Amino acid sequence: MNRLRALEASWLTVGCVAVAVALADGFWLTSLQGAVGAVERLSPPFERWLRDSLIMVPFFAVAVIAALFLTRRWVAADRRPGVRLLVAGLLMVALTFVVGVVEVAVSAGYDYYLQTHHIMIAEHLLHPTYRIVGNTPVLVGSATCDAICQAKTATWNVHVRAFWLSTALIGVTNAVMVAWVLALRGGRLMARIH
Amino acid sequence: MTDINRRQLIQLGAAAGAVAAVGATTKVVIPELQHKGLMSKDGVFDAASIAWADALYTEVFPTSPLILSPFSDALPIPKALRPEPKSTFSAWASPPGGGVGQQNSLGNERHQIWTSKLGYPDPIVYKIKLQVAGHSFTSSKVLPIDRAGQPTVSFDEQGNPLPAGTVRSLPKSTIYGFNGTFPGPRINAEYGKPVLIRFINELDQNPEQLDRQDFGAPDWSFLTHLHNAHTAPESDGNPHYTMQYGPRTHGYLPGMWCDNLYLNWPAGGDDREKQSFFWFHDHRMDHTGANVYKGMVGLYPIYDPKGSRDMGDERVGLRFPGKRTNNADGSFDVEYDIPLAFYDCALDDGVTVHQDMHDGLGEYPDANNPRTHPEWWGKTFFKHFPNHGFVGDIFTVNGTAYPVLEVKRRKYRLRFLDASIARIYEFMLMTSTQGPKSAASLGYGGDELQGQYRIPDGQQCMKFTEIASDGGILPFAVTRNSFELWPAKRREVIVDFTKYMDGTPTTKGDVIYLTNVMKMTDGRMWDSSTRSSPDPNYKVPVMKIVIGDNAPDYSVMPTANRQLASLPPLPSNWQGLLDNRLIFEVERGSVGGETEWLINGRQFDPTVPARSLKNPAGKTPLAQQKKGSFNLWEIRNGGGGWVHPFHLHMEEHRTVMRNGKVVTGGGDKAHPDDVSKEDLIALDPSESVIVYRGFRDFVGPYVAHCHNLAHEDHAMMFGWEIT
Repeated sequence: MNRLRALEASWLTVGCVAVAVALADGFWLTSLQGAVGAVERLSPPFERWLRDSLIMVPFFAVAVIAALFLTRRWVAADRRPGVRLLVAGLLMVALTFVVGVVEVAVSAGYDYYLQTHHIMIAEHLLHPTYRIVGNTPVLVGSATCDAICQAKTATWNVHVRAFWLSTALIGVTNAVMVAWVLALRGGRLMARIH
Repeated sequence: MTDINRRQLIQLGAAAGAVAAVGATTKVVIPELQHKGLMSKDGVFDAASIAWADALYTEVFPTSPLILSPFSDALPIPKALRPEPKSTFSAWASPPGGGVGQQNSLGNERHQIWTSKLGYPDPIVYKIKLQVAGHSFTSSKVLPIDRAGQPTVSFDEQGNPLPAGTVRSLPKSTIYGFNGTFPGPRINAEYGKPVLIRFINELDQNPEQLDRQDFGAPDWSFLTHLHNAHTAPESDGNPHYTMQYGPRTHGYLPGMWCDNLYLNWPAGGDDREKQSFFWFHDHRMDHTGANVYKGMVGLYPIYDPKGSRDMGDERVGLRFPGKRTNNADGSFDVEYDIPLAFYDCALDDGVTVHQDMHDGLGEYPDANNPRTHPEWWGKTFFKHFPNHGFVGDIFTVNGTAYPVLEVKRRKYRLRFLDASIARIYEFMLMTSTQGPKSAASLGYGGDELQGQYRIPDGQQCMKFTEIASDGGILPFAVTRNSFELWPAKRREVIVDFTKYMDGTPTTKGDVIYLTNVMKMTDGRMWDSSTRSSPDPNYKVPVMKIVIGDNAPDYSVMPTANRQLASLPPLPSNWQGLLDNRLIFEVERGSVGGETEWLINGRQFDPTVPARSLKNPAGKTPLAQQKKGSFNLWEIRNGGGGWVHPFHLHMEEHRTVMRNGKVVTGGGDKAHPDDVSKEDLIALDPSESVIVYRGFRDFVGPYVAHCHNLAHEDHAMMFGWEIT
């Protein structure tokens, strides 16, 4: 607590950045889930977005505080306020980016877990399928690894593509949100920075 | 003047940025959301999900070669199929009948209700063989083009390349057709005169040794559904039945036959339940889309001779256009009454890789996918598991691309049917001074090439008088500038070809284009239509209509205040049934991303009836109804920015609520047909529809499903039953 007090952060700035980034990243995550996520997790997206964003606010707040802490450690107090602001802003972007990416990765991992379970019981992949050999229908495709593995691979590949795309989006989004909130706060980063 | 310091300046800049962002959103994003029907708190996320899906699922479809002489092949108008003489079918080794074991070649089923039980005569018997054949979509020469609309290479039947710019003839595509034709036969039926069709599977015979390519049921089975006749399960052609009874597998295998008995009996014996235009198509589980796309489509207009109401004779009854000619064998043809089956296809360009999840099932080992198939150049291309749905870029009517129809100067009854996998059309009648121009020559490329031709100067010139929907004849005729046609839906209209809508008479040689104005570049939903930000440049002529000579016309154009039909009444207490309604939500599934479709979170299980979501009464009832009962069912679109044409088998329904609003008296401009009976619910994104329907006369298993056939084949179906 002493360290936090010593940080003398502007708690309004911390809160605003954490909420803004949580909502923005949450928007991407919710809409991404709507495109590739497991159906078991789907619920009305607006409510899901609010819920998930709210859950993530403390994590983003910790990231912002950590950015301020590192700024205090790494940038001497006598440096120009603009330099400190820039370093702090970049660190906020970097650390909230890490939190956002981890959020996406965990969500994708859980989706994949649910989806692979779904694949294993997929009716259309498991019920008997026939093809003609000579002039006789022959049972094929029933529970073959081919079909199931292919479905799993397709699912995995979609999540991997989604992860990389969301990584880029979250990076840009967080940079914009951090810059915007800091600007709205008039550059007030810490209570002592004036 | 107050001094502004640097901090305030930054704050001002941030605030200005926020205002600019809000302004841009208002100007750009909100209209786009409104246009897509996604302007809601959840719709915003649906729109973003669509964008994600567009970015993540890169699917390549071929660009079909450009048809160089469109509107030169005459529209095929199928004649009525002739029935089998009694002397012939009586001599069959297994003649049709109502006895035990007489319904199929397996000898394990019987018809639940034979005609005599209704006091009806013996059925008129038809024989239809499922056959492999070749089909040509056009006789025109074609120019192979790429996605930029530029001439490109093509390939011969051995897969050898031919240089760009080589004008070609299209090879025939391989079809599985009813009697080997596409579309299949037309059966003109009548209420009160039952029809029995013996469907015989001859798909194992391939006398021309045609390449079957990589779609169509891999076991060559079929399962024919007369959409949406009031039939017993054994004649309904649904997998909830066939996986448990009869063939006890997906369909009837080569060498098998089944007799589908169509009693031509309205539900409950109620004349108000009569319909007017059915079609029969394949319903083989998991491969319905492939089989329909491969040609299993037939036409079944049904007339009503009771009181000469609608018997194809314009001199009596409702006096809809039609000149009936009775044939000696009991069949009849009706002139000036034309069914139009719309179907879009994509033709292989030889360079697009064939690849989808079915490859892993080993169903088409000879195709050896994933790979390109230059040897299939110019033949139909199909993808079973399309992430964005499947639409073609060539539009056909009755199996012919861009046909021409010469009409007499008189009124016609046109019966529209959407036999496409996923495409929705919106039709208008237009004139064009300059005539059709190829989209490529107008500078379009990519998905904008779909439809191949445009009439840039097209102007609406006539209106449609709609007289029937998929549920039968409307209570009152509706005059329409345009109408939407969703997959499996039917719309019947009367068009007066003697005059334009401004009253000017037509003259012989005048040309009119039946034009599609709904742009739909993938199977998800439309990009533009007249009800949501129309694209004034998207006017794709689908069929050319040429005015010919005068002809006698005894038909009468129905006026808006002339009652044509009565609707079966809703009970006065129908709203009291709302709490106990059954609820089914259609939604995107999870395997491989957007490649599977679910209802209430579950895949189709053909062995059990589905279970409703929790209704307002707190119950989750099974989809079981007592024979003779009526109920409210709610179908919800689970979102994701998709539209779903949702079909309920066996009886048509009445839409009573849409998005929580009562629509029994109309009111939903996007869905004016809600006031009529229907057998298919048009579900816009995130919509919810409550329908009232009956469960009469038969018992046993049926299904309900999305009629986007890529969805149906990938589990967006549920079983229900009457007990």
